[in-house]
This record gives sequence, C-alpha cells and structure tokens, in this order.
Amino acid sequence: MSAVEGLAAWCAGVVAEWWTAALDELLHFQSWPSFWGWVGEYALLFPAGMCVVWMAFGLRHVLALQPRLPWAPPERLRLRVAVVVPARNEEQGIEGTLASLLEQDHPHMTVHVVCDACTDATAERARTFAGRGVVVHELSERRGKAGALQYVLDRIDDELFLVVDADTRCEPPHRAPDGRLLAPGTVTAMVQQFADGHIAGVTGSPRIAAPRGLLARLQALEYVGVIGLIKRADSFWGGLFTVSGAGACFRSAVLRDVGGWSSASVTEDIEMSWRVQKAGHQLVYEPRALFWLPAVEHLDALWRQRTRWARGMLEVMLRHGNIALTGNAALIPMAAQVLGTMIWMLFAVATTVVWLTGIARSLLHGQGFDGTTALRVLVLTTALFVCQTVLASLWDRRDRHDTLKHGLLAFVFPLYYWGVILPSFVLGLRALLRGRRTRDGGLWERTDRPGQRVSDP
Amino acid sequence: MRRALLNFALGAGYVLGTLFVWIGIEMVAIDGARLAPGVLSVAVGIGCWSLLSTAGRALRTGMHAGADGA
Repeated sequence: MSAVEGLAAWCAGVVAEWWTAALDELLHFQSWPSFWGWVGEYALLFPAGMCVVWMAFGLRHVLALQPRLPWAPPERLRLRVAVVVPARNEEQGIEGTLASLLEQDHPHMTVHVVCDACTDATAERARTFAGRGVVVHELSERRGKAGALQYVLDRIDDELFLVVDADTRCEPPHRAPDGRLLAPGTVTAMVQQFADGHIAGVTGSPRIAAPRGLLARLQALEYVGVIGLIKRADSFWGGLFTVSGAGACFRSAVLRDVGGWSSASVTEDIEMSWRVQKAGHQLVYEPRALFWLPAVEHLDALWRQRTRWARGMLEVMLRHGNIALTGNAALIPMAAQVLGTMIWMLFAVATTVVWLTGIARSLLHGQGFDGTTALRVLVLTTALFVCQTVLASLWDRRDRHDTLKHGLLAFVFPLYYWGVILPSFVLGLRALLRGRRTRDGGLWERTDRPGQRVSDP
Repeated sequence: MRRALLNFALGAGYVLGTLFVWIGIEMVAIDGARLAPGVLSVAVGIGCWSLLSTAGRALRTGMHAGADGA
C-alpha cells in the first residue's frame, strides 16, 4: 500500500469513526447522559467549545475583513460628527478625555459635554475647553446616561453621533516625521466605516490603560483576549452582541428612527445595539479605533459593574430576545451565543455547588472521588484559553502594554471568571427580578471606576 | 411566516453546528484517545456556523442606513 493510499485509508477511518460517533450522539437518545450528567458536561465543555468558535471566526475576521477595512485620508471625510461625552461627577477624568478628543484629526467634529446634574467641578473643568470647540451642557436634574445622550440627540443635526465616556481617552493619530499618517486616530478610524451606506453603527476596541495590579491586568487580558475576540467573531457573523458603551458611533438618523436612547435599561449600549439591529441595520467592529479606559481597581466596584452588565444582558434578552420575525438574520448567532452563555452560567453555578457538595460528602465519609474527567477538561480548556489569548494579543498587537506578557495570566483567568463573572451573573439575575419592583429609571452613579483617571497609555 | 420559518431553520442549523463542536470536544476531552475524529467533528461544526453566517448576512433585509460616502 502506497503512502497516499495509507493516508486515504486513515482519513476514511477517521471520517467513519466520527460519523458513527455523531450519529450515536444525535440519534440514540437512550445513550445520552442523565439530566445532571448532561448539565455537568455542558458546564464543562461549553467554555472550550466557545474558545474554538471564537478563535476560528476571529481568524476569519483577521483574514477576510481586516485587510479590506475602508480607508480614506482624514481630510476627505465629509460626515459631521457630534462627539457626546455624558458626565456625572467626572472632574478627575474629564480634562484628559477632552484633551484626547481635541488631538483627533477628523475635520468636522464638535464635542458636547453633558453634565448630568454634577455636584463637583466637572462643568467648570469642561468649560476651560470651550474656546476650542467644546460645547458644555449642564442639566439641572439627573437624567441618567441615556437621558444625557438623548438631550444632545434632540439638539444636533450632525450625521454621526459618537459616544465617549468621560473617563476614556481616544488614541491620537500617529504620523511619521515627514507628516505621513502611520495610524489613524480613534475618530477617523470609526468614521471610515460609514463609507458603506449599510453600516448604521461602529464600535471601537476598548483597552485598559497602564494596568497595575492583578485585578487590572486580568481586565486588560479580558478586554483583548475575550471581549475583543468576541467582537471580531460577531462582526464576521454580520453584527455585534453589543457596542462598547465607552466608545461607539451611530448614524444620528438611525438613532432617531429607532426611537432614540432609552432610560429604561441599565445598559443603554446593549439595548440600543439590539434595537438598531432588530430594525435591520448593521453594526460593525473597528479594531483600529482604540479607547483607553481606566481599570476598575477594587473588587467590589468590579462586582457592581459586572452585575450591572449581567442585569443589562438579561433585560435586553427579555425585551429583544424574540428574533423569530426579525429581518436581520445576522442576529441569530448572536442570540444563540448569548442564550448558550446564560444557560452555561446557570449550569456552571449548579454544577459547582453539586460538585463541591459531593467532594465534601466524599471527604467526610473518608471516600475518594474521581476527578479525572473534570481535570482533563480543565487542562484542555485552559490550553485552549491560552491559545485564544495569545492569538487575540497577536492580532491586537498595537496594544502598547505588550499583552503577550499577560498571556501567563491566562492560567489564572478561569479563577477570575469563576470567582467574579459567574457570581455577578447570579447577582444580576437577582437584581433584575428585584429591579422590576423598584425600577430606578436607568439613573447612574459613576461607581464602576470611581475617582480613577487614565494614565498615559 | 416565511421569515419565521427561515429564521427557525437557521437557528436549528446553528444548534446542529454547536452539537458537532460539542461532540468533537467530548471525543478529545472525555473519551481521550479519539483526537482525529474529534478535531474533524469540531471542524464540521465550525464549517456549519460559517455557512450559516454567510447565509444570514445574505438574507439580511438590507436596510440602507444612510447616504454612501464618509
């Protein structure tokens, strides 16, 4: 038998073995594990499966979409941009944000700062930029972030509406000594995407600026290795689960068409993303548009932030999850992914409790327990996650903080996920159920990143 | 009605793709020695998602958000 024949025979054997196993799994229901066995398998295998799916479609984005990202010199961009900076007591970060916006080279932009009944010096500090094209709006009554955004949307006629958080810095354009543009600034990069008339909104790439300490480094890793990669995969599928609240740009006309910003949700970014996409519009990810955020430095603040995100995700799925009749079929993989994640979180919590109880009982009775399968899956999942982190870091290598160094942290990340993200999902679910009785109208306190400012990245 | 059926078919396809990925990872991680068919199963699942997402993008109603030209 020649080598080619041998290889062909081996391939045929692999296909036959896979086909037999797949048919056995799909058709022979009696051989499926018990309900709790199934829950445990799902809890164990889902993260590994999603790692593979995100890497595969992140790669497709890098190979198929990234080389074709639109580009025109800034001076040729004609669309007018209203950059809106909603602020609630942001006196520490507002100047850095406005300075970074004034460094942008998009020729047609106006910066609007909306002070949402601030009780500190945010408005005074923003007004020092008034001579350089910054308009300051002071609201006497609190309206929340969505209310502040709507206040400006009602008063502008610019084609594009760019939201930038008041503690976030945009990346300036980078030029060679001869004046040649090496890399676009954040605003220019985002505006490029609107050359396609089908694009209704663009989200940028949020990064943690100068992370210090374990918690900040884990968040830096999460933004590049998980959030950035998911946005690449989502964008390849034709939409986004959500734009980033810290930096997202929409066509103003589309925002008005879908009814404007809603204060009913605690996460206005997720809510708006789904409303825009359900109306048939497309959102895309622009990896060149960098937004630098301060890390959440304390565990309790991170917990609150993630609980709010989880609650917002659940709220949006309850309100907009029914996509049976949507004309935007690109939303289906996003909905499948979110539904799978929500089920996984519930199952993972249940499995953790069952396992811990089982282990404790075994130890109490002096019996051993077999953790071989769980250990094998854990090793595989960790290995896949390290691959995912390294790949995402390579694709986003413009990150100045050498995220590859954080690749080592990928080994610790599952603990961070299990310890912070998972419990916050349960708290978010609880907050959603309680919030139905005590609706807060989407008002905000800037507690996620309190009193922190972005260091120079 | 036609739209609902189409979306349902796409959703079912994604579930099938996910099952193939699941089976593949199960072969590798739980059954241990079945690496090659496991990888093949994952590849088939990914291929399934890839085809369906291409179909999903093509089937989008395609509302025109605004004037061409940035």
